[in-house]
Order: sequence, then structure tokens, then C-alpha cells
Amino acid sequence: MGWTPPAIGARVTRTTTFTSDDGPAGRGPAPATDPAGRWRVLAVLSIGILLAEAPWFSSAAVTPLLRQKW
Amino acid sequence: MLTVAVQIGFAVGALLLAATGAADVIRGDRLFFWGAVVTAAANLGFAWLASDPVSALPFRFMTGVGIAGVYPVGMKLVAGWFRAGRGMAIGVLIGALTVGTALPHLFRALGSLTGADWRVIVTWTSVAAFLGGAAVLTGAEAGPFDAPSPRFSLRIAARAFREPSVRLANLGYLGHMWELFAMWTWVPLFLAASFTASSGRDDAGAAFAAFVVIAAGGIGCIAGGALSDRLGRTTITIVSMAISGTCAVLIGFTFGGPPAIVLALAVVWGITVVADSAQFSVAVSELAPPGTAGSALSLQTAIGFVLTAATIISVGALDPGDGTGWRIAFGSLAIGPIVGVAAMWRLRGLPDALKMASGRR
Repeated sequence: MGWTPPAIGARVTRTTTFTSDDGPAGRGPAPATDPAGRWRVLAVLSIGILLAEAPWFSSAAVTPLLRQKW
Repeated sequence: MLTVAVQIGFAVGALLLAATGAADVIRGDRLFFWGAVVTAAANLGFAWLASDPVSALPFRFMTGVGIAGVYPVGMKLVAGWFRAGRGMAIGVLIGALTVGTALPHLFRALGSLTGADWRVIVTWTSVAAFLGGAAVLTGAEAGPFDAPSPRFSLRIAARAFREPSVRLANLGYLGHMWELFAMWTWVPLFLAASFTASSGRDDAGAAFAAFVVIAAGGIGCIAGGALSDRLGRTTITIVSMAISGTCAVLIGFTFGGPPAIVLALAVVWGITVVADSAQFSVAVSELAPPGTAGSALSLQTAIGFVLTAATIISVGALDPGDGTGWRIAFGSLAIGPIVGVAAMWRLRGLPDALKMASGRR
């Protein structure tokens, strides 16, 4: 990784140097810490997956009803 | 057979996505949305166009194909936003997936209370899927850590599987999958039959209990993800599989017993059966030689989902109807955790195990 943690006792600033291996090619350097906005995206993806997976076991849920109909 | 078709569809869809590299060509949020649309549409076809189990199979297969565009793509999207907290984030997402798989049982419980037809209940799940896809399309985008996935290659996967530690992690995963989806498929029927035997038929109560049991796994996923980074992957997988395998053996003996006891044991099973789910994939990604993890994970997922089809069918073939039947059927699911615990125990003893979770085995 291109980021080196500051020495103990050193003043930590928000300015950080990145090298080319920090981020995917063509997208510029990736931040050294998890970026702001990640919790919002995690929340949206969690809700999205929760809802989008609902049909997975839809047939299992209605099996007792299907046994009567089919 | 209808759930089996979904499992096969998922395995085929996941391999197709990995082989074509579609996830790198199409934007993640769009792929997720269209995966959700295919899922919702195929599920609607099952509800309104199928007239018997055979005609329902293609719709269920396509539901699985669509889900392959949702769940793995969601994982890729979240990995683009988290590096330090990736294990926890993946745990949250698998927890959400677990609650999502339980959702149709909640709809069924509501349907029982309102007298809704089964087609209407299935339609509700399609509406949910569409809304989920729309939420991601409008609210999520690729993160700064997003990186292209390597194309699936059987040759590269074989290179990974030459490593004994990767083979053992994979065997642990297969043991876990042996139990997981068969449990999710059959435990609602077990609960309904057990409650009927003890206190009379209660469709809504049984369906709600099934929702609680399966959704409780969401808590297990988050806890498992958080604890495995501190206690080690083999520790969490061994403990989870030991408890869930014990539940699989014991729960048949509670058939027809007091619903509170049946439900309590089923909830423990529901939590532990999925708590370690993410750890096998994370372990393979940590143990596989550089550049081979993507193909190894794709192959692992495909084999795992085909195996789930076999165990779902085998429990059905045992045709459990009474306490003895359920004891045998669910007891057979304990074979998976037994094999899985043995594999993870051997992995723990290998020097390679130090590659996992910053040396926490």
C-alpha cells in the first residue's frame, strides 16, 4: 500500500499523500480511510437487498396453499 | 422442486456473470436494478402464468438467474465503499439478505390474516423486489474502492484449489451450505406441522414463526462478522456449525411439543445456521494465491448452490410427516456441519491459517 501511517506523536493532518497503487486504474487514487457516505450506501444496499431477495423463497412460503390448489 | 429451480438458476446466473465480466461492463446500480426487475418479473410469471409445478419451473429458474444479478452485485458495490470495515459491511448485507429471504413468510402470515390468495402473496414479493432494485438505482453508486473483477476461469480456480487450505475452507463452506438452504426451505413446514400437532392449525402463526426464525439469522450474520475479525474465522465457523448441527439433530425431537420450546430452539438454529456464512468466502479470499480468489469464489458458489439443490430434494424425498420423519430428515442435515467442523478444525492447524483475519485463524 502507498500510505504510511504517521510516526507516533506526529501531528496528524487531513492531508494525505497517495501513490498510484492506492486506487483502481483510471479512477484516481482511493482514499486511505473508508470514505464519507459509506453508511448511506450500506443502508440503501441493505434495504435494496432485503426487498429484492423476497421472491427467493416465495414458492416455499405458499407451499401449503399450492398443495391445495395444484 | 420450485426452490431447487431457483438455486440452479442462481448458480447458472452467477457463473454467467463471472464468465462474461458483465459486472465490470454494466454499472453496478443498473445491474442490480435489472437483476431485481428480472427477479420480480419471473416471480410474477410464477404467480399468474404457471398452472402446475412443471410450468412453474422455468419461472423459478429465471428468478434465480435474476437474483444472481442482485446479491453478488450488491456485495461488489459495498466492497467499493469499505476497506477497513469490509467484513462488518458484508455481514450487514448478508444479514439483510437473510431477512429478505424470510420476508415472504411475513407476507404469507399477513395473507392468512386477510384471506389473500397465494398469487397475491407472491405478487407482494415481486413488488418488494422491484422497490429494492429502484432504491439501489436511485440511492447507491460505485465507491472509490470499486475495482474490476477478474473473469472466471476454471484453470485459475483449479490453481487455487491445489492449496490444501483453500480446499479445506471450501469443504467447510459446502458443509455449511448442505444445511443452510434445506433448513430455510423446510423449517416453515416443520413449524406448521408441529404447531398443528400440538395446538391445532394456525397458518398465520406458523408463517409468522417461520419469518422470525429465518430473520433471526440477520442478527447472527452481523454478530458473526464482527466476532470473526476478533476471534478468528475457524473459531466462529466451528462454534456456529457445532451449535446449528446440534439444533438440526435435536429439533425433530421437539415435534408436536410446546410451541414456545419448538420456536426457541428453531430461533437458535436460525441464528447459528447462517452466522458464519460470510466467513468461508472471506477465508477463501484470504487463503487463495494472488489473482485466483475471484475464480475460486465463483466456483465455490456454483458448487455450493448445486449442493443445496441436492439437500433440499433429499429432505423432501424423506417425506417427513411425523416426529420420526422430521428427526431423520433434519438429522441428515447435521452431516454438513459435522464435515464442516472437521474441515475447519484441520484448517486451523495449518500454518496457512495465519493468513486469515490478521493471524487470528
